[in-house]
Amino acid sequence: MPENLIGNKKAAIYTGCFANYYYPEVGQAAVEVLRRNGVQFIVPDQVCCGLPMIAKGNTKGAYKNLEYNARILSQAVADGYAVITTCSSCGLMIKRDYPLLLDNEQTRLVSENLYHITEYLLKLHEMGQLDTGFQSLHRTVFYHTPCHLTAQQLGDVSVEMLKLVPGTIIEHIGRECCGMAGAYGYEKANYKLSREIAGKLYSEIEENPTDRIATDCGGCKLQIEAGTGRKAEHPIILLQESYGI
Amino acid sequence: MDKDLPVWILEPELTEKRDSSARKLFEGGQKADYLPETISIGDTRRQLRTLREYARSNISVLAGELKTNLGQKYPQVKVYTAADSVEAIEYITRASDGLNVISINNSSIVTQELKPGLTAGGFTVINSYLNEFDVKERSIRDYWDLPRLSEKNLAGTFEVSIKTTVLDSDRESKKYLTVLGVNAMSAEDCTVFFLEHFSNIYNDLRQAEKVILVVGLDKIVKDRQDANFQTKCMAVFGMESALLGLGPKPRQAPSIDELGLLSSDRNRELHVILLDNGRAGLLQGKYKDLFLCIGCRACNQRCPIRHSFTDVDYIWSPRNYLNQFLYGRSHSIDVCLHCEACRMECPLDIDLPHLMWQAKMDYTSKHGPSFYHRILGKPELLARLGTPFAPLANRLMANGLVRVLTEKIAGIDRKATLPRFHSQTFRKWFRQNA
Repeated sequence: MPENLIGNKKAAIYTGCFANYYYPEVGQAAVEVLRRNGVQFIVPDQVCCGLPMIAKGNTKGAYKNLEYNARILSQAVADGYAVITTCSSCGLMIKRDYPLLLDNEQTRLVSENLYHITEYLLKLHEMGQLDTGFQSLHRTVFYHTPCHLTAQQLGDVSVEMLKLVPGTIIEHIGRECCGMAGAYGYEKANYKLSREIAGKLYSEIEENPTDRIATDCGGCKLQIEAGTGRKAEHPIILLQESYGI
Repeated sequence: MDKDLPVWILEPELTEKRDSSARKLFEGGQKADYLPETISIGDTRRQLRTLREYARSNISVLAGELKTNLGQKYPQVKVYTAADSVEAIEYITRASDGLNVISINNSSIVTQELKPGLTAGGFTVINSYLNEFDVKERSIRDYWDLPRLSEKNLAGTFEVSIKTTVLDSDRESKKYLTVLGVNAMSAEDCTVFFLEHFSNIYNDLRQAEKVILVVGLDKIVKDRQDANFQTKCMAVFGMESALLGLGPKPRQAPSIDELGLLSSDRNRELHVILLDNGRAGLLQGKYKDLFLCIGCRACNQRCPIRHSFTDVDYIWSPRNYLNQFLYGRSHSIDVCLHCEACRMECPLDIDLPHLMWQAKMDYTSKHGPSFYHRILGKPELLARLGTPFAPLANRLMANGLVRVLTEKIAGIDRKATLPRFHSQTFRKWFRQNA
């Protein structure tokens, strides 16, 4: 097994539920950006990562999904594919929690070879393998860092990636929790608290007007949009635009 | 006369008096003419981890050594081993011998464990910390206002500033008890360590007729050097959390002085309670890393919900929240957002988010999920149900009556903005286009 699978330029895309069911443009953008960079990709059969299931007490279902994903994705890794996700929460679950919840070779293999999409692209860049033929777009961006990206020590990867695009100015980086936490913020029991937590983020956005708002997390996106009335997009969408594809 | 048990107290600031300790806390004790020694936070964390792992692996030996040494070196100290809080409260009640006012220290976990039982037992329990807490306005509202002190060579800012004993106090004693949770205790020479930001602990040690020191098993360490280091780490890593707590607080009870307690004409007494209360049990199972905790409450620092739990009857922190749940004092662990900020702040790298999951899984395996969570626990099923009828499903989810129903059935707040279904999912698109 090579030290890492980036150099193979083969990727198995794990979309997660949000990008699959509610925000398919993200998965589509990831496909286009990978294609542009000559990465050979597959979308293996997959189910929910299990994080929202554990959160709501469906432990049995979560373990079933965990085992399913670990089996399929570890096979992809064995075939030389790095696992890529666009979702910071699925990424955290698979990278950090899978081996903690079920310590076996499959979960370890998948965990060690899982990359957030922008982390993967940055690594390609470090290897001189990223197509940097971006169009200059002259736009300012407010970037909100999802807690679950920070928890993977990847808080800056999407910002670093966006900075590679000429004319993109990261005007402000929000680092405070948005309070959404998956379905937590929908729940009647938490709705008020969740919106209170988001208050700091809302004022930051108001104080730092930009052309675009970006965040990697579907939950953060919904929370930002609900509180500001503005659109929040995944950084991969901005990258897709920068390539003009 | 026998030697008296040594008590060392660490306080903020080395050179000046504490009259402006809140301000000193705010400034991190850093002044132009006093720069603390340079330390590496990484090295400090590693040293602390080694110390705590040693204590965890050797707790029964250390507890035995402490008891033997207390008996041999300090026979005038009454030592009692309590298996749980009930035994400890019974002991305190017997020891009180007619006294009915108890002064406790604020944030010590052991005193939090004993406080409800003492109150229920009819004692007037006074939090002397809050009574000294005279902060007129809040200057730091949240963690983003913090100066990130632990990264600024803070270690020298807390030093042992008081080395005292209890029984030979020069102050006139008053008719009350003090029950104080110690921050660390040396098994080798029995030195007791406290951290205080004001002077409440020192005052109680000097003037309470009966002093009861409560030592959680997790507070016993090898020697004085370790006890000092552990207490110092608690101070340094917990400082910003303490800063966040600085603000005007309503007075909850009169102070010891205001109560006008009579002077005591009896001999002062010093008791030490070694309290297990579930700690030894932690060592065996999945939650054993909680035994590493030094109680600094750094986990609280960036917790998004910390503002919302100022009215609970324990000192809120993610770790204490988990504790309440594990000891059956609360039946929900659902308020945690799992942002994982606590894990990243913990100087001992205790994986609180994972332990919260573990607690949740243990609970639901016995009791099943809550009514609402039976539905929300199947997110992909919900997505799959909505997808084939996306336009209709989206229209329905925008309907007020439907939202009232989903609020009743699934606990989804009717005001919440929900994501929209798409008839063409990404994977469907991929199959058709890639």
